[in-house]
Amino acid sequence: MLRMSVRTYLIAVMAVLLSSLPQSTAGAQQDPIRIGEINSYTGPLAAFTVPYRSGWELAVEQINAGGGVLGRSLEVISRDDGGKPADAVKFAEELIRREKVDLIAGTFLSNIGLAVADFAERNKVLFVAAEPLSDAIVWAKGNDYTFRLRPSTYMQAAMLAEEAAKLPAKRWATVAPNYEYGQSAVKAFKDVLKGLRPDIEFVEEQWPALFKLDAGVTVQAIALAKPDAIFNVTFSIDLAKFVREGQLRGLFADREVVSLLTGEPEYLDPLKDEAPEGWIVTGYPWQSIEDPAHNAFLEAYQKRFNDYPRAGSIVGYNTILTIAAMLRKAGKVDTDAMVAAMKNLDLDTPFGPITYRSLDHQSTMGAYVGRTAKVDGRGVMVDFRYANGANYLPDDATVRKLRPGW
Amino acid sequence: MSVLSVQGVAKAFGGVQAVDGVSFDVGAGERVALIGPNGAGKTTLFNVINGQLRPDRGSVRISGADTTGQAPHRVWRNSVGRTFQITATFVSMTVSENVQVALASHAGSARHLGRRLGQAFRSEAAELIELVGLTDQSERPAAELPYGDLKRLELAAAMTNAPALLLMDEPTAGMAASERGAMMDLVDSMVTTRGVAVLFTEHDMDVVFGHADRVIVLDRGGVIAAGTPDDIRADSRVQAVYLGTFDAEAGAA
Amino acid sequence: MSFIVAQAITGLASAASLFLIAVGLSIVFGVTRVVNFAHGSLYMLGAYIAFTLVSVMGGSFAGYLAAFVLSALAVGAIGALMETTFLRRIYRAPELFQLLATFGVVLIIQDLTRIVWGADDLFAPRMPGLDGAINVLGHQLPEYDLFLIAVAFLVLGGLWLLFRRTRFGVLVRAATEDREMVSALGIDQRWLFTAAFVLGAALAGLGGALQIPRQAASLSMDLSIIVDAFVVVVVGGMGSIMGAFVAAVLISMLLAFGLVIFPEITLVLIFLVMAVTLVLKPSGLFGRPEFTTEEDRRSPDLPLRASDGLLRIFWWGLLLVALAAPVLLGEFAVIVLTEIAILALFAASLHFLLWGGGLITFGHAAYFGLGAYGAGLAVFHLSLGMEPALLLAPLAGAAGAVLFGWFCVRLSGIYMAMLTLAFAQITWSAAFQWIGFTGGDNGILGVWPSAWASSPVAFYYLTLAVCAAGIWGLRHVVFSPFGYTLRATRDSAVRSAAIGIDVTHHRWLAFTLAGAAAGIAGGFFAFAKGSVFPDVLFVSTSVDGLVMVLLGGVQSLAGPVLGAIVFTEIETELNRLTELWQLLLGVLIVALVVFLPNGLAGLVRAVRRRPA
Repeated sequence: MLRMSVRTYLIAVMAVLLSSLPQSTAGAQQDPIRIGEINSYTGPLAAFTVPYRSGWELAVEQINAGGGVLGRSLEVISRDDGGKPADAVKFAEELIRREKVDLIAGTFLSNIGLAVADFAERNKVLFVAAEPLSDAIVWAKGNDYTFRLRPSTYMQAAMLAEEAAKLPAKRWATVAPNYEYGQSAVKAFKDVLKGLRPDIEFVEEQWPALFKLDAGVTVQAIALAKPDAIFNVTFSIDLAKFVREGQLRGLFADREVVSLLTGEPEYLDPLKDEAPEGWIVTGYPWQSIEDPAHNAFLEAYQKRFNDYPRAGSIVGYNTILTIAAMLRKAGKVDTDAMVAAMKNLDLDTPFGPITYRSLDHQSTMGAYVGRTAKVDGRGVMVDFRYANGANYLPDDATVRKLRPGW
Repeated sequence: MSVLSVQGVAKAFGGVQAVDGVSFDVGAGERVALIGPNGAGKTTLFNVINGQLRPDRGSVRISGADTTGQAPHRVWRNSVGRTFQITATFVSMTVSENVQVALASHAGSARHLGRRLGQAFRSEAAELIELVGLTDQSERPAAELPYGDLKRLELAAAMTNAPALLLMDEPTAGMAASERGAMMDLVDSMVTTRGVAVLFTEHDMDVVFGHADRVIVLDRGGVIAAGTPDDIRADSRVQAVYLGTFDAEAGAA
Repeated sequence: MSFIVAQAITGLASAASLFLIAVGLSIVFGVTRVVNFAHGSLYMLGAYIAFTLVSVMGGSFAGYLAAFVLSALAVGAIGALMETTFLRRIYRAPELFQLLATFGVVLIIQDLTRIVWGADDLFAPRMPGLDGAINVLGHQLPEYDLFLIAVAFLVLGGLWLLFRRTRFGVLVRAATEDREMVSALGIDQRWLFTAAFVLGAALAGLGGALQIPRQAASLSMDLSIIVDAFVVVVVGGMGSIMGAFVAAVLISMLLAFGLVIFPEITLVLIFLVMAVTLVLKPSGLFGRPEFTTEEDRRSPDLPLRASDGLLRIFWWGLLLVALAAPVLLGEFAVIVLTEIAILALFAASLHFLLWGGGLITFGHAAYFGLGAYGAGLAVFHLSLGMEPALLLAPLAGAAGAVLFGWFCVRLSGIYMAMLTLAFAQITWSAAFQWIGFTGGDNGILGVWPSAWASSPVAFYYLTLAVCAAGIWGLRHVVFSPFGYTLRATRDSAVRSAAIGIDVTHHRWLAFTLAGAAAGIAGGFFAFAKGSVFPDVLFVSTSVDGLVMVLLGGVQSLAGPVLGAIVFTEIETELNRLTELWQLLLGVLIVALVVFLPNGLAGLVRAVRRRPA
């Protein structure tokens, strides 16, 4: 009896699997332009990638409603990499070989972005890296086929270092998760800040393991060094713990805190009424940006999803805008033409005009820099300004040294 | 030269002195029974001799070589065979394979990767299997054997290195009374045809008095008597500390 | 001085958190002998449920207290459901199956939690009445930290009373110390096991709920806490409540003061503590050595047989399909088949240890990953080409196995599984954090095949040739005197020693061989993907390997190959179908352990044996 039910079960599973085997995707009436998209939609990262998906969905709908590009509609074939670079590469293979997509876009984690970038180079396919922050994507590991949209670790750290240099603080402490992102961010911040203010010294560094911050003891260890100011790179659950313990233990009293990405709704909103006040952050103050282009985006987004956009939403939206603009410029769906069109590509976004530099394939999309405050029991950004990414990149000679092939 | 020489062996666990200065010898071709009530130190002493325990004091020599504190697989190199109170065989192998593996070990080829084990040592294995009377069973998985046959298989495996000394922990434990005699007759034949010396522990007094040349009686970690079965039967100290309680012990065991 | 006091109190608060989660795990293990990987998931559920309760009931002081208690009860009820529906069916299964089954539950709870509560982190307000800090020698210490410490002592005292003064406690202790005794006493074990599991689950739920005023409830809580909890339980001694307490304090203090001196080392430190403990005192600080006989959990395996008709058809048919695939199945299939060939060798090397030697490893990713990194680093640092890099891969895998194996083969059962896991996690930590050498999280890129092998089809045939040879070689070894001797050490270690086999040494050699084979697989994996990242070393890679072996069937040489094929196909296709693939994978794992413990090969065997 048991055996029978097991067999029945297995047969059912097999039936489901078989029926799901790839139906031939040919036979499209008007041959949409196929964009392969990969991101980490399941697991803990879903909080970041789902708003991003909403962003690109909105853009695709708007563009197709307006008649598409080059007379063809856009179709996004999306895959979940589950946070694993090896699976991302597998789905990249699947997208180009089975789904025959014309280009690849997406990714959130830096390592996945790098894995797909490497894949793109090897297979000579265009990759528009949407969200990964690592500097390596356009510099140390940059390649001909990869372009990156979001302002990088270096750019955002440089934006904050510029603000930090204006503070009187001389003794600085840093706290960052102990992996590539944390280490790069601290290094970039230190380099830029010391360039602007040679009198500054770094008196303490804390390197908690990612998502394993033991907040109480880390806060005490920082306090022991008696710094004037703190540079924070922790995010997500680590940030929440750090903020609460730091406030309870008085770590932030009379100290300036400069904090990477903390102004993005993804990171600021979960803190609710405990959002820190007066921190200098990079982020996305969606409520208060007074700009017609952004207002139009905001209105459409809220109407479509009945939710407010996060920083990821803008990135997802801009990714599709980039691809559409690139296709219009290229005039045809051909990798060489598309790659050529990506260089010096100018387009307008809800953040204003941006350009993809031909020098290193980095877009000049910027971020908002401001101070955190509390309004109606939730964290917002005030006194902010838009920091144009173009102003926070090293000079061309330095970039040529960083990027191979120059 | 004696095959086994135990000198002043002592072993304590925590505060309990399990074995306290035991000395005795086993000569070539001799069958010696080690008896005593539960907790007398038999198992501890046995484990010291076969290398599972390192004694606190004293020495163990096998065929003249000092094996004190050596691991069981090293003790084995001095031509020692072993059987266990609860049979230990390779249940996922056939009877023949059980013996073949042991023969491979004896031949020094346990780490060979080249040829399959398949036919290697087949004839030697068949010989030993015949000796213990399991020829009919030789292709059966050990897992399927009745208990008495497993004991025989153990004996065959223990004979693979042509041992000078067989250590048998309760060779008839768990067997039906009718099988016990046959098992011990088999052991006796090893002694007569192959000149093996046997040291065994045993609860069944019929087995002890019927098959031992000499009996050593342990109580509270020390030897209280040693001699021929007749001597032991007559020894009043043995009767006092041991035989009087034996029946109850046997029932519990 | 004042810093030391303040840091010690803070460390004690961390210890309290760690103790509350670890003690339940320890109790469950003590009674049921199941290492419950899903304990961290129960902890996570406790946090989410408490968050919801606080939101609903309002976050007053009393509301919080009620939320703590109710969350513990709710998670206890979930534990009861889990125990009665499936856990009790696998008490007699081998340890590894249990680990896997509970890992399946981790995946299920992870996805269900996301569906119910969403993916955003949920940050509850501070607990009223305990939301401030008090001044201790000039340092501000959160009141809630002191509350947590008090709760930990209360729980410790409560458990002490429960275990000393109640009949239930006496039975739990008896079961922990001597399994047979309880059944001898005529106690209904089922009731006792359920009760102990519910107690453990409730403690996990309480531990999670108590975190709400300190940290956000998030989907990463489960795996991040469970490994730490394991370490505490293993260091303290499985089943020991006092051990869990002492170990939690020890580890928290080491971390609290260690990060002042070596801020970078925290991740490695915790595993080092565990490795050192297991090597010096294998049963943990307060644990008792395990005296279970080796055979009792396993139904005896059948003797090895050379392939018969059907199996031969399977192997040859498989090879034919594999050879013809590039023509028959198209471009992407070649990519998938390359991955299958690699994973089949990886699974076969794991299977060789598990089945061939009874060596329970939960950290086989270490050797796979070392192979991948060996090849990747050879390309990156030494600028070697594909051919020499691929030769280095098995050496790297074997070197890791020589080093880790030397320690691991001295342990057995669950302790061995835990130590292999610890070594794999140490290796992962090193790859993740040692950026100068390994590239850290950004990995190693540009690991491309040589020109002649650069087309997917050419690389596929190369991979197929080497991996098939590797699998055939492992199979050959199983039949060799070495393999039989290894099987002998698995069946009975005492008998093996009594026929002159150096059991530890033999196992060590087997470990090394398997490490080399996994290393080959890792090397090819690196070139197939073009890059190497730390996640090849992560526990999920080990779990994937185990699922493949289990899916295919442990008791068959065809098992790992079959498992790799089916697993890779399922993973590739499920992902396209649904975002709930993690949930489905979890259900699949649990169903396998409960309904198909002998895997697909076992199913085939059972069907064949039935009279027509």
